[in-house]
Amino acid sequence: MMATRVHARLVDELHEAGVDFVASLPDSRIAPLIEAVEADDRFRHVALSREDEGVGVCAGAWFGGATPCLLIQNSGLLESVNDLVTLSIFSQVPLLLVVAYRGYLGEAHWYHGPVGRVTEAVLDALSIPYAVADDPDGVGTTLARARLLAETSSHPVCVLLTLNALEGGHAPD
Amino acid sequence: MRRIDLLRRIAPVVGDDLVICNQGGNSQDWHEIRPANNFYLQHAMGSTTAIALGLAMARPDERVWAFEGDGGMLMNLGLLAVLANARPANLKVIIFDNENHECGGPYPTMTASTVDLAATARACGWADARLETAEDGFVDAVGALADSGDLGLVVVKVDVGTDGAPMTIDAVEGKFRFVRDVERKLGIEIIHAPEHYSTTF
Repeated sequence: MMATRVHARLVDELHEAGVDFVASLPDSRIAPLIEAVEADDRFRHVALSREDEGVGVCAGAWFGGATPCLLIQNSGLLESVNDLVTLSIFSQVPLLLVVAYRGYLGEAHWYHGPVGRVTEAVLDALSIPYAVADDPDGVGTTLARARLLAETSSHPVCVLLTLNALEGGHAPD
Repeated sequence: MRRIDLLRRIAPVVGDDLVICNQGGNSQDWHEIRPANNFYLQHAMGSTTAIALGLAMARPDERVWAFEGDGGMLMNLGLLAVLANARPANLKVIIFDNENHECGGPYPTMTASTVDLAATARACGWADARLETAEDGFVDAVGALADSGDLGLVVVKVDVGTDGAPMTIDAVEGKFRFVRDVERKLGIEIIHAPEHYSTTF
């Protein structure tokens, strides 16, 4: 998928939310967003081989004065649970999680169902505050508010980006 | 070779650089020698070098060290690929390889049998990754690592065993100590008074 105006807008909204450092692993819906981040000198970007690495990378970036964001699929959120608990939460390090919410309404691929069905329950179990960002026009505000809460609570905060939000309000294929 | 003896030898090279230190023996031994400017991993085994990578990329003008263990590195070998690709010139990684899960054992790791971590790093694309088995060779290699303008790794074989005293710094104190050390050293503010802050609730 090519980067579109939707992705360009999302990149601007990440920047406006204060994010200047991104660690990522692609999902087909956020790959164009990651490409746009990588090409944008308002961000430092680290490509990961597995999502849980990004919890440490983002913590290190925060220790260096950056405002990091971990940009991944919800499957990778589940992958990252141990590091979220034993690093971010245990050491009280702020972290903005921006997560493609697969297996949610509009999902066209059956194999995302199991992860989609437990995503919010896992966040609840971890006491990680989250918002489901479904309205494309509300994503920017949600990102900024989530980033602020992460900072003031010294805790991970998650924005779940639905397919609708990632497609700019158009139904996904 | 005792890890603490090696750390004593390289302390002058490390100076007051920022260090991300693997949990357990690495932390205890290094804390004994140079207690400031360190983040001590407490429980998130496998993320020492990831944290160092994030810090090094956020502060490209600062030399950053990761004092990793063989168990920690084996837990996340993919990081060797991530690091080779990100290639921050200011990141220097040392793996103190005691071939053992010292904290969670004792139990042998796979560097005791089949795995050569320096060779693994080279296969992932590291230009500079070496294995040292003697004290003087290690000290020379760390000196070269500090001076090089590239990402680098030294793996050194050490005995099982920790000589530093047990630490009483918990995860939250560890965070704040490191944050304040970094703020002082770099003259930056990491923890800000948030926007919209007021004295009223």
